[in-house]
Amino acid sequence: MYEEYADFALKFLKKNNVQYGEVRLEEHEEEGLILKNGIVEASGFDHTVGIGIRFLLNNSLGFVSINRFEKDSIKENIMKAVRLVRKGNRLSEKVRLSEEPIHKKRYKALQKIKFKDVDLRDKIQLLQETDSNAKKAIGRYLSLSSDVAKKYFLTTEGAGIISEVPRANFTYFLTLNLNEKSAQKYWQFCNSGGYEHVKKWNLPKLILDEYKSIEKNLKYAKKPPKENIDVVVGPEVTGIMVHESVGHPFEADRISGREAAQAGESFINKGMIGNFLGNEIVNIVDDPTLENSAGYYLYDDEGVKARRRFLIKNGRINEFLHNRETAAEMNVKSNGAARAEDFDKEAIVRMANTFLIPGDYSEDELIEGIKLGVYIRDFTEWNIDDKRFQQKYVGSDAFLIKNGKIKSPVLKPVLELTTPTLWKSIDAIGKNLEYHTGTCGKGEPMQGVPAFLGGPSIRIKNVKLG
Amino acid sequence: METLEYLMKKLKQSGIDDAVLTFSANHSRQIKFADNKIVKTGVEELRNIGIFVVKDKKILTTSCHDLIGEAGLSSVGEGFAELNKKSMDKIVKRIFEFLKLMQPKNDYYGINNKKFRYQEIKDGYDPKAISIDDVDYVDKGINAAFKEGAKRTNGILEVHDFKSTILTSNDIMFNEKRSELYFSIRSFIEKDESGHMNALSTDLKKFDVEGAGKISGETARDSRNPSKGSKGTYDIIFGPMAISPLLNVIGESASIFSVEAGLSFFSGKENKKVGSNNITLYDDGRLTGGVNSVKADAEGVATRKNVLIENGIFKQYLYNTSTARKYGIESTGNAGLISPGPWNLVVEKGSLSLPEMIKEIKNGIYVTNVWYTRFANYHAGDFSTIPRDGAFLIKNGKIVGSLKNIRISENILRLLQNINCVGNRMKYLRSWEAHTPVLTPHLLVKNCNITVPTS
Repeated sequence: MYEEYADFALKFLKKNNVQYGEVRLEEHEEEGLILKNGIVEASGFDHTVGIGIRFLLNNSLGFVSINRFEKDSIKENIMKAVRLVRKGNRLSEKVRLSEEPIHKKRYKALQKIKFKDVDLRDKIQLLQETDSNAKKAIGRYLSLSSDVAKKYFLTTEGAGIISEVPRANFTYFLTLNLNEKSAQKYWQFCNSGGYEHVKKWNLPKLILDEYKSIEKNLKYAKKPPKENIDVVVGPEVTGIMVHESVGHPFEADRISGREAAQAGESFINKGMIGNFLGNEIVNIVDDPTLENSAGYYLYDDEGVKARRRFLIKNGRINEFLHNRETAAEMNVKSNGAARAEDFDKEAIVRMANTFLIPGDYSEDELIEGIKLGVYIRDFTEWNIDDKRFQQKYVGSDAFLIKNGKIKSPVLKPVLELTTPTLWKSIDAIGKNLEYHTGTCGKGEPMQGVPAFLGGPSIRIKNVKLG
Repeated sequence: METLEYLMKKLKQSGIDDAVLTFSANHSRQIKFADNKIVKTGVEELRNIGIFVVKDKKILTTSCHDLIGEAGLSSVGEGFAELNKKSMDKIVKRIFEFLKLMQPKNDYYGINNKKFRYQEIKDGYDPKAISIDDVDYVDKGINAAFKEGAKRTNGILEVHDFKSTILTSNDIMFNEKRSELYFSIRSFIEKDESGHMNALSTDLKKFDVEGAGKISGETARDSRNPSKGSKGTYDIIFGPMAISPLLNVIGESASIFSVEAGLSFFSGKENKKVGSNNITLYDDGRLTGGVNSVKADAEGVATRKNVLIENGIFKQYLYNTSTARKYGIESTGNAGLISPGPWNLVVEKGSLSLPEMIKEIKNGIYVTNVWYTRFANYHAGDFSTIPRDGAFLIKNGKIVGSLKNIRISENILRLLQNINCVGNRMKYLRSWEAHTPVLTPHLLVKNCNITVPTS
């Protein structure tokens, strides 16, 4: 029934002779459950629906978001935006969009076990069983949710994409306090698909393992060595490094300065294609088409067909992430990186699933040659500057490496280094590829989108830990 | 409001214990600019009914957006559409099917049943603010930055017109209305030379885009030729933009929800010393001209000013009715029906001007803005944040240059204890990392730990 309003909006844009117009109807069916310290804090469901309308007029960009399904209101809001765009035209950037093939497609990610077929009582039981495996933690916050996102996308150029992508999500915070010392771990999981993924995560075991590793670290960890050493980081740490220091600075709208006010810019400029950023063994891609991934889509929010983007090839900068606007600006084609959080946000350049291509080493082989080093399995605090140049990762579950063997736990090893130093210091890449999940934040107003952050374990040579 | 009343009647007939319905209607506009040019013009109209229902201590939240059809909420007073009645009957049915499967929250103690005499917020809504010439204001802000030497400016202007109605199952009903003007401008000269300032107001007269543009441009100009910072211990002056994300985390940590979830560094700290004598911080739900000020919270408790930290002593957590009853006290008027939270965070003004603060410092940094504040542990308060835009090195009471590539790696409780003096000029703002608005002066914090990349 809502499609009728989207069709109407497109027709109205055409009537107003916009150069380009697109209408994105989004509908979300959500269900969620929060357990705090073993007690169901709240649960609920939501059905949200609305339309995002974008148009080009005199090469200026206008955007309307509305969830009031009345034709007069849609007309009124479009006209309001048209007037505002006309008024601002003298100060406007002359936007162009790259020419792209027009697609009419329908696709769907399947739920092998449908969320709606799983009784809420089973979900509550699962979370309570999970919680009971960390009973001694002073703070336990667990959240399980699902979202079935349906989109109906049309453009004045004739594109039409209808999609349905369900996602399962789990988030936890664990806080342990032992002998007046405390430690905390937060992490999240997301897959596109159905409840089958929740089963695969094996949440009770996951939380038990996390609890044990935090407890062991709190009890026995000692400060890391002060001298320069070799460090092996696990897939979770590789994933965040890839996302923060390669994915983000490769977003073309950062490079062009469009997001400079808040999300920031990039230490990379458009003339750096072909430059070395890392060791030749480093290959990093972003791939929205990865099945069951958090960032899964086959057509982006501008109707462009998604494909794997090779960001770093053999250590060299290979391509940036583009939407149609940045592609036109840099005289290339869009590689389908336009994403919006929901109907009420414009589609901007985003990552989907960014990961380091695995190498040949087992994790044991990465470690066996190290006389003195540290193995960092996962992390807590991290950050990176807004040009994506200098970054910090604080290890959580970490161990001393002595004569090629994993030894005692290490307390909060801090890796604080620049992006080129990081990727040039990698001398060996593992084969144990894992995908982890993050909610990537960008834009003003802020938009958070689900993304995979992935990679295998890697060895970083000769660095100092804080 | 007929729609809410119908829904409440249906919920009551079905046997709920507590319910709160919140209808909100927002009209917004925004202009985003980059490199001195408008890159997007946005118009928004969003409507929503938030539904909070409790039956046998089982708490359910949902909302409806799709009830708002051709003749729904938009035609209030002109008859109520059958279409919406059917949709609402459907949602009530689903609520009860869902409730049957849920488990009780045994420490739930109900919603507010007290009738307050509400007082309107002073300067909360300005019709003139809603009808400004957006393009003209953007132009003025950019030009003010240019005058100070900015070459590139980036930012956003937002105009919001918020209206809401809350109806509770205890027959409490009230309306809120507020306007909001927000302008954010970041100026650049070269890549590492930048300044950032915001303007925020409910009231057109107090909306100073030119002031924000000027400070943003000045900071960029003064930050020319930054050198790489060195690690060590420094006295830091946090400007209002720089301290606002940390004040937000402090405000969230004061929520009893955070305390119970293990996510608060104020856990067990009631009536204990958490900061130096120089810091007094309160949350004010009734702040004059506050963009987040409301006459009543989400369950109809009249809002008030709550002292969180008084001369360094942590005074109280923020509660809604249920959590307050659990601990045998009164609600602080901060519902959030699931999680209580702050409205407007205010640091009590001190006596020193910024130049006087700079004179106090032998070896320090004036940080005008920060970015990517992340906590290793909210319970212990360990965090780091990255100064961005103008960061100025201070030696022997004078600014001697600007810095880049530094990080503040600290603990929030240590930082509160090291607040040495508080400035005398207040700034009201919100930002990307500070969603709760803050009213704060500059703060001088002794002995902060600065780290830098190892290579």
